Amino acid sequence: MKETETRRRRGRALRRDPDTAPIPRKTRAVGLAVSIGAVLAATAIVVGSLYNIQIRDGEMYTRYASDQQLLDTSIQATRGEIYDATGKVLASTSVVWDIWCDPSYSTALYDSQTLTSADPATGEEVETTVRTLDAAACAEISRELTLRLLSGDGVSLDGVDTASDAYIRQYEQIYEALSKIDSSYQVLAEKVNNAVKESIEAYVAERSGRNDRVSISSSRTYQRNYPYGAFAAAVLGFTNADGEGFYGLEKSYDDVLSGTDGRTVTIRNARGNAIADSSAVTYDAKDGDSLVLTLDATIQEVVEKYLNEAIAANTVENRGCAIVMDVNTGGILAMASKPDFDPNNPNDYSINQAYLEELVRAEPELYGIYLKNEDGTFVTDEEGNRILDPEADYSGYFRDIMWKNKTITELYYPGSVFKVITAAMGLDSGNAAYGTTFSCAGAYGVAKETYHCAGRHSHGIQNLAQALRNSCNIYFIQLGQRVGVETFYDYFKAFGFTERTGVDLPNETGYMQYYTDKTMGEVELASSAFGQSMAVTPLQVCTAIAAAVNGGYLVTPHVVDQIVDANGNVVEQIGPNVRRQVISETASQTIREIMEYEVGDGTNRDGGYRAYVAGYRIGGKSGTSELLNMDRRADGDYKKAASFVAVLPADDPEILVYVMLDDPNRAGTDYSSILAAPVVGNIISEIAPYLGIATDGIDRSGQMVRVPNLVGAEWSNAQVDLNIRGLKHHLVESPAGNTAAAVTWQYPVMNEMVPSGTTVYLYTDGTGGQTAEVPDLTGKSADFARQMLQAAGFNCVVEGNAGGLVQSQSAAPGSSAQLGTIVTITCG
Amino acid sequence: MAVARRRRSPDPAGPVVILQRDPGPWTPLTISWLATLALIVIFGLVMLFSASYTTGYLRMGDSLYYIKSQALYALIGVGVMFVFSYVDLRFIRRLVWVGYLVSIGLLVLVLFCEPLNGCRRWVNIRGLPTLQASEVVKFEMILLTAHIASRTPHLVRQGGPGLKRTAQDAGAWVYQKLVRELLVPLLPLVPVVVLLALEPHMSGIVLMCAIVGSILLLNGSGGIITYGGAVAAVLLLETVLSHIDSIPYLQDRLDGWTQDLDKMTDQTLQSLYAIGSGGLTGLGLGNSVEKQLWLPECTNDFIFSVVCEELGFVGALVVILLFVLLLVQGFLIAFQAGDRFSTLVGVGIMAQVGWQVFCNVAVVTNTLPNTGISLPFFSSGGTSLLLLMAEMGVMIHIGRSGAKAAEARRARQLEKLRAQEAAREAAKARQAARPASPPIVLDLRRPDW
Repeated sequence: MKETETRRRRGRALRRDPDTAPIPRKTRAVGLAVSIGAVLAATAIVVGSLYNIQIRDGEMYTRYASDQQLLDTSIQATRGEIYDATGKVLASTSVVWDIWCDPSYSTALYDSQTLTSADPATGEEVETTVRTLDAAACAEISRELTLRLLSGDGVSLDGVDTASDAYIRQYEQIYEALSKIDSSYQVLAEKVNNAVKESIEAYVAERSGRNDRVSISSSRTYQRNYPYGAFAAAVLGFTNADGEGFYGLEKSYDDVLSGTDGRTVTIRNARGNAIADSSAVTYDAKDGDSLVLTLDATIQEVVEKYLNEAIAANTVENRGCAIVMDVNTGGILAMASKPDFDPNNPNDYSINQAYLEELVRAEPELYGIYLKNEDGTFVTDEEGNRILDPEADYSGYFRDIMWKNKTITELYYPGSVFKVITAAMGLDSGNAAYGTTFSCAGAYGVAKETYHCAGRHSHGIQNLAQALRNSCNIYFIQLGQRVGVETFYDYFKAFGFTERTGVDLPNETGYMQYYTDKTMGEVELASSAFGQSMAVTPLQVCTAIAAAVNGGYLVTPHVVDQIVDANGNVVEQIGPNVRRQVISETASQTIREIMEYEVGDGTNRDGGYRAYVAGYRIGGKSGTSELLNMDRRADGDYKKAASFVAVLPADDPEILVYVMLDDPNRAGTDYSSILAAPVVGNIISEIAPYLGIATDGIDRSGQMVRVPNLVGAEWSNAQVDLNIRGLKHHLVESPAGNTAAAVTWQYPVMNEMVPSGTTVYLYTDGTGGQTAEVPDLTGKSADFARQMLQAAGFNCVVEGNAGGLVQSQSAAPGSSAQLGTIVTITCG
Repeated sequence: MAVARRRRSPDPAGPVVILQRDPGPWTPLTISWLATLALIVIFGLVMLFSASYTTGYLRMGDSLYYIKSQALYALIGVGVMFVFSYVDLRFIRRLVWVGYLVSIGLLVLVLFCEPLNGCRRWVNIRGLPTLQASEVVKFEMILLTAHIASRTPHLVRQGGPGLKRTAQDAGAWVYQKLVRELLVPLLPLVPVVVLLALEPHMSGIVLMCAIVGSILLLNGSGGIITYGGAVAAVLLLETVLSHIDSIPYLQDRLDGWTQDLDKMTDQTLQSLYAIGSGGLTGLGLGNSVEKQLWLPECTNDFIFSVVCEELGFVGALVVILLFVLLLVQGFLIAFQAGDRFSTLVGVGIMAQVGWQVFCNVAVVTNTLPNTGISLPFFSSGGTSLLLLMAEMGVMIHIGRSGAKAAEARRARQLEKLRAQEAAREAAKARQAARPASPPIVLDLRRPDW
């Protein structure tokens, strides 16, 4: 009991509640209050946090989350196509595929090992995954992919030469890409066609197992194709690597062609893959509209053929250009600058490299790249001249030059062609008429300058037409003086020489050089009158000439005729745009007459007779201008630009054919009537029948023509000979492809009398000609028989009743005869 | 010091058996608590399926990978809950020390198992489902702490209230409060904390301490000292957190605990994106974007972010409200238990659920630094769900046996009152001759407690 005593004294005792007793009331009350209070307090805290995140800052987090979650895929619009006037495709877009690989996700390419090592900093164990390349698998996959890429169609894998350089290069490139097993994006091949892409996909599907993945994907892209290659290149232009128009129509109509890209906005997961659900929002791409050109591929082909030939034959050093234009609408039927480039591969100048190097070397003032000291100053020789860098890289100039559309970006002195304009000024202003005469004594002084005619000829008294045929500078100086500075400048402006033509092509220069009425003195007026003091573009000359002959209307030239949508509906029709009437119809009538007199009727051997093609009424004017602003050539004379413009039919012109050869270097002559007129004549000889240009109405069917000797002449000049005589020509394609070669054989041979319109076959290789089998014409109609003979390469003469059927033929069916042989068929 | 021994009074709940045929009557409180639980479990399964099918498909090749196993564990869990609701809690109490040894054994065992994600938290024996040891230990620590705390003798004031306290008295009080009521119940926690630190399992330690602390606090152990300490802990939480930078394991996580979105750990950032994207009403069930591999652990610790994203602020409030209901009803059940041990076990279980919910939601909302605490009944994890369901079974048992004890008490009281009444009747009869006195009104509806 003593113990109890002690406890009692302390006033307290230890007691253990019986386990059966519930918790005391007071503890219970406090406990409940505390626990429920704590629950509510904690609730308040978390609800507060949630409110802040979801309601107060919800939009901010949503925005951040969307930034990472949304996958915005662009749907590329298909670029519109470009068609010529007859519907031929000049530029099209095809779907191709870029093939890429995610090596890090391609477990087939590597073995992975998990290594456990101690982290030196914390001593904790850290797991690291080490990947080792499975070289055999990588080689196998690389080989299979290379075979498919090089097969072209994904099927003929056996046809691939595995020893070729192309194979080895491709294989090594793919092997290297695949072996980067820590990378997640490696491009394997670009712009692969659909067959190859599907073949690769099939291979990948077959090769991949569950733990043996090959992650190869493809993405859709587009490739621009120009099926004709280096053809109307400066007009069509090209697109850059991103598919945007960079030059030519591709650039000027880029908005129309490119269409509007669409978009798909989808949600993606953290691996970057789109999640297939209904929330994807798609804005369809609007495909680009297509262009239908006024340009006709057939005409363009003819123009480029003869232009190329003339450039090669006459050693034209600063390129040449040609334009065929509808004088009434301004529609351009052909436009060429040669040499040019292949728009499929616009950066490749290798084909024309020699030509371009020559061109660049000839103009060091324009293109020279000089040696420089380290401080940036030029290295000079003893005389203080800069020294050309022999190792300079001119490729930038090369590309620039070959891309340029010469007809709108380069200026030249139009020379005597401008005399047509001076004549028009005189006629329209009432200062001259067809019969207005001036005297030419071979020299004419203006102020301190003395002017001569070409070759220092003295032309005597001439009227306007004679002066134009003689290309008499002194006549036109006097005419210009009569017109006067102010009127001259007014007409100069009215003919559009002071502004851009407005053609729908990019990069048209707007910086012409000319004298205004304020700056033009006596001397300037004199040289302007024969086209030697204004630098303008070839297209400006063409539109001015067109205005002079079409009744006086200055039209805007254009290449695009229609804009059509993907379904072929015409979105926009680009009609003729007459800017103003420059001269009267009567003045224009006289211009047509004097221009036709310049070309003549095939009987004259002066003026622009080489542009004559029998059967057509052709007006024209030649122009040999001195390039006063350029370095002189080796012979000390000015560089020349030989141009010739022709319009036909001369009484009511429909088309204009213009050719300009910049800096020809032909031994013996600079005259454009010799250099450029034949090109125009040959072009007309092919395109006039094609276009159905009205003929002169003279029936030549009964006429017999003596075949001239053409062997030894350049084939284009030989053709001119035939054009003038009313004979047709057919150049048998040379196996050597020698464009400027001389004729080695002709059939029918010289001095043979043949009916007018007979085709003479010309050869530039071999002597003796080719033969063909004469078809059996019996029982055919005369027209059909003629067509069969022409197709087989023979001339045809019909005797008897042309409305009947063929009774007999002069050459036996099945017999062999030389191409060009005249086969007489008797009909009844 | 010897403890006053009393003769053990006969247990009104009857003899200890393993399974009780009838633990007691269902009260409306227990039923509504169980209904709340059912809602939470179903809600949890639905949300887990929504949150996991993408991850399951992309990581495991099977959309149903997570939900299949979770649903299976939930089904088994319902069975376990049912069984545990019939197990006599006094029987479980007899096994607390055995359970403690087993727990320590498990915690040692995991240290020798293959680590997952750099931590040794799972008993990973080939051929058996993995078992997260700390989940078992949590339950055990609830039982053990409840056992010790309910056995702690109390200082009872004896003698008259006018007695003066002496210095000796104060010393005894401090000894009682600090040592007997706080230190002793905390002792078994020490080896557990040490073993958990070796795993390492920081969130396990935090939870374990929070649960044990809550039991002691609500038991009134340590009295004013505990309350003061708890208040101080809440007030000093942030200061403490910013001063434990020196522990390398924690450093990274604390560095990522910032309001600066650029410096935040990606997990927390993605969680905020998810919660924020939800807005008021959410993107709709199943429409979470963050679960598309953006949000790490979206099936587990960060499932609540997916709930917020899909169901919005409203949905998140519903989930929180359900848990608040579960907890409040659970605490009411616990405090109405028939004996102190049952009360403390119930308090412990509810504390575990409460702390886990709070910490989880606080972590995903960047209110607390990132620790891996799962959301009860929502996060995937078999062991956790099974143990939780077992604990819920125990809660049912506490509710039902508490009602039974209350009935018994009421019956005893009624008997006592009847006896008094009878005595009064007798006295009344004796007084019948004398003038009448006012009648005594007996209110049988008076609450027993």
